[in-house]
Amino acid sequence: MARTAELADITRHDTFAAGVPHDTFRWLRRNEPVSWWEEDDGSGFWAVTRYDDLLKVSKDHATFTSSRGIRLEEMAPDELEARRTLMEMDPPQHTELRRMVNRLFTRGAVQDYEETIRDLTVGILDRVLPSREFDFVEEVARELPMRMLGRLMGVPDADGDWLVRMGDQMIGNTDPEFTEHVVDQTDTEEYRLLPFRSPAAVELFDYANELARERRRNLGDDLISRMLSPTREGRPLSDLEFKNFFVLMVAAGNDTTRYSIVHSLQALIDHPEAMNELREDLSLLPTAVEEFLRWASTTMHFRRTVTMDAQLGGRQMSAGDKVLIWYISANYDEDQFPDPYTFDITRDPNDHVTFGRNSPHLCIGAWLARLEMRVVFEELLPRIEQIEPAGPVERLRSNFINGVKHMPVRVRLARHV
Amino acid sequence: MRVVVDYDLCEGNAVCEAISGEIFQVDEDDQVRLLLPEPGPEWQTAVEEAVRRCPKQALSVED
Repeated sequence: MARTAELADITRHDTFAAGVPHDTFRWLRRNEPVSWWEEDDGSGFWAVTRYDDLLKVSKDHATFTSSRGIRLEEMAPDELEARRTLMEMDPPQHTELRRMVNRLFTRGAVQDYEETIRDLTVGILDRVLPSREFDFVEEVARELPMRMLGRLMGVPDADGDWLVRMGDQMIGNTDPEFTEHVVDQTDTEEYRLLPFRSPAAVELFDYANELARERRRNLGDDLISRMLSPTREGRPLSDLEFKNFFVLMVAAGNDTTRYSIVHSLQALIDHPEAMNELREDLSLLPTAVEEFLRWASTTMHFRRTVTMDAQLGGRQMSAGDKVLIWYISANYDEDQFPDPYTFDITRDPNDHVTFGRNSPHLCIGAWLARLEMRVVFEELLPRIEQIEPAGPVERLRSNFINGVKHMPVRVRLARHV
Repeated sequence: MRVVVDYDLCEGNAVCEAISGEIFQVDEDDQVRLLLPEPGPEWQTAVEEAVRRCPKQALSVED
């Protein structure tokens, strides 16, 4: 079908630096739900924008494999092998690795972290709120997931800041504020065998080696110890597998929760009536958090690769084709969510795809993220009477992560606290 | 109708329990236990919804 609308170019990171092109996704869902996009390097991808189609791709890992990469970036076979984590695997290999750590992230396990998360949150807020004006990203949203990650890994709190800067260099590898090695603008050939083609991975690998050496002497039940213990099939991970797993946890474990917290606050600033409702009744938060997550859609897409000729949304796909499943679009699909552009903190059911519903790859940190988001607002809202922007937000240059780098805010503190 | 759980996949998200606590119960160990392993036809809608909405696709039905 001819594209009659003025569509934003979703192949470009710069498009998303200006804002999520919701109008384009809405048009695509309605008129061309599975659409072909050409990239500058001559390759291209299918964009899947409807909720139902996205679930089909998510579920069907035999037809839509993760093993050829999960990001747009095309990797040579040796790169792919050197950088493979469980995210670039299908079952049953994926299942074997995931089982090593998933017990630390279940709904029940995560409940035990609530007190720690609350202590960390209160510490962060008590330090920053008296200044009345601050960058909510840097001072609050970045701090909590980072410190919690450190606790899960059993590393000193002091290492957290460094770990997160390294994580940002990798995930933010398309944004010049986070890295000197912008992956689509500079020559990163030297780092092609490293996670995210990033020099930060060299340092993280060294850190992981040191951590493994020390932890092997005294294995416990923490995340690192589990990665160093054999799988249920009795196979220990190789050094490279361990290091890639470690880097994945550092990369995935902080920025997505950070940005989800930021988008939540932005949504509440934009919808003051919702903010007031929550302040008056914090028990609405668990349901509200699901709406925060839908609204934010922090990971905007993942990529799959077609393994055999397949049909989707009336389009014919061939083996080898890249497919991007756009969570940010499916989460606003009119056929799934009534009034999707209405921010409704009581929305229920709210089967958003932010965590990758119906996929073996369902976000392992989903319960942790939910809990951190709930606790942040349980502690923040009663402490403030008002919160307002104190300057423009700055978005991450990425069509992959819906990120906000800076969000200056001004608060008026509540009197009773 | 027989409900089948793939325990390699189940991570205790408890979506099924919210849909039908009569059939599904998520235990302390975060794995689902079937209170009614072979529910009658009156449960068909609930079971189908649980199968469809399980975030890990850990549930299925055998006739």
